[in-house]
Amino acid sequence: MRAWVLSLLLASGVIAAAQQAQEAPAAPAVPEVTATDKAAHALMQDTLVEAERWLLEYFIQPGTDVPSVVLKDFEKLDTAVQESYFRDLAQRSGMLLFVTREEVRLVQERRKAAETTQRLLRESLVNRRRERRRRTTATLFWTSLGTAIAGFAGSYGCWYLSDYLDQRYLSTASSQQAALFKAWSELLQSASYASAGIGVVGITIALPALAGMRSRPTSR
Amino acid sequence: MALILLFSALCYAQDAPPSPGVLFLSSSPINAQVIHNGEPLALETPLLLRDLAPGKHTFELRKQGYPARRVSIELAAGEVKAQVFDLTGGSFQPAFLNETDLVLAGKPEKTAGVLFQLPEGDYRVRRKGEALVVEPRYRWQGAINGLNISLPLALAFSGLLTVYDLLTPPDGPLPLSAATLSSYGLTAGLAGFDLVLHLKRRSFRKAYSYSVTPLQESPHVARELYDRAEGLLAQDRREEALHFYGLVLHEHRDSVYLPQALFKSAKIHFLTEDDTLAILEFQLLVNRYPLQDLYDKAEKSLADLYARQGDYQESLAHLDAMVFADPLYSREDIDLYRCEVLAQWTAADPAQHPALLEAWRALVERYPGSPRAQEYRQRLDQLQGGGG
Repeated sequence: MRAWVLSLLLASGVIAAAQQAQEAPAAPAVPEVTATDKAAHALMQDTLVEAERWLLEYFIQPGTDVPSVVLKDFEKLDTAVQESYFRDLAQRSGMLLFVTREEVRLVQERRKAAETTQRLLRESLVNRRRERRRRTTATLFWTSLGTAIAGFAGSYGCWYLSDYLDQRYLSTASSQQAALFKAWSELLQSASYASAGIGVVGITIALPALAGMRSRPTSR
Repeated sequence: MALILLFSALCYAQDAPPSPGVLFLSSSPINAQVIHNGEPLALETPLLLRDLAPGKHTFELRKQGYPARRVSIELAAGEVKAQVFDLTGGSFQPAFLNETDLVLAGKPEKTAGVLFQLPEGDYRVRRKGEALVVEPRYRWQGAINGLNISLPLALAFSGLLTVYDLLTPPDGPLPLSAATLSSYGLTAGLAGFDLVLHLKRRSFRKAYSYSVTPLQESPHVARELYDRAEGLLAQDRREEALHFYGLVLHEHRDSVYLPQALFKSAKIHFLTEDDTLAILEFQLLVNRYPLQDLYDKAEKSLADLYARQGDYQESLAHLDAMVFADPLYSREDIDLYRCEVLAQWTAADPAQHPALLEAWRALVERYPGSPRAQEYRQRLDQLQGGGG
């Protein structure tokens, strides 16, 4: 069957070449359609119709894989049609080529499925890990930054209150109240140092977390 | 007896597997790879997934140059669902057709007939002499600007507190108060952030990339070609319409208009009675580009074409493959059409008469409340009378 289609292809190629040779350069208007042209057109149309039927009956309908050699044959046929001046057949030939190319691609996709599967799974796993890491780093960054801000704010607040209570301790007349102010002042002073420490720890964690933060991944 | 029958019916109902769901999965652009519940699928989008168990299904869509999308879809028993995912988020495609000189991210670029695919983000656009300069702006540039102001202020504030501590030494164990220490900690932290952000900005500028595609391949060109073909088809200029549908098919492989163009092309060939080519196109559409709004139409057209060619078995197989996602077709209409195809087949081959009878009987039993039920019963009676 392939040999038969190839002979048709050859015939169409010869006709296309003959047409090119016949083209008169000095022709003033649209070339007159001769009986030979009509025959050539009919032959080329029949070739296309037969090629379509051949593709349908031998490959598409039985669900057989379309081999890439068929695509090459149809590419030759398409070249012959495109080189002829039968523009009405060019669209048809282009469509046949498109359908064949897509069918061949389907076969190739199925053949490469195992390889593609492995690659996809690997990429998906890497992406998921990267996304998980990104989320963890972002959470760590914002949490530690929040802790640092709260720590420093607390430090300033405790320091201010401690200073205020220290002044009240100096100005108060009652010894009982003075002792209370002193105790609170010392407690708040310790708290302010502790808060400053928390702030420093927070900022120490936030800095490398910020450095390690990545943007969302894109498929390669 | 009735109780036993009811009990056995209930048992059967409990044991019977739930009817599977059907999902049309597509993406924009098409031809994205799909991972379903952790298992990669051999074919790319658009896809028709039959026999899906009811429940939650997870899909991951991946396409080169686009961010991956992960979604979960809940399917009920027997449900037919369609889902389209837009993968284009994360980038945009400007064209600078009126600019002669363009400097993009520090590189001079040609603007004629090209489209740029730039990553989403902030850009600074300004004119420098004749050239238009487009510079990507680092996401945290605002923070860097803020740090440039706050860092000297924090340093000055720390200095002031140090002076205060020197003049009035604190009571605590350290020569500096907690506020002063906090200020230095904060200043050091701000300086650290500034340094990290500067380093990240440098790596962002280094890693910044974009792609340039010919304008002819851009999605809007596919839409224009498709619209032009539609306009021509509306004027019944089929040959010219076919030319433009063909351009969409040949030059825009990833366009969402490709399946539509293929369907229209097949429909034109169907109308012009180029049956073989129409079958090839419809078959490609159902196998490779099944979309919710096209799939049933394509299957029905294939059934029509095969019936026209006298291949009734193939015609019925295509009617069976319909999933009724398209509201244009009801099950009753298609069952009735099945009877008509079988009637044609019986006319050609009288051996099909029992199958035809069975089809009419099924139609009468399935749709007793239909407005056409009386007509169905009459046809069945006629057939039963005629067939003896």
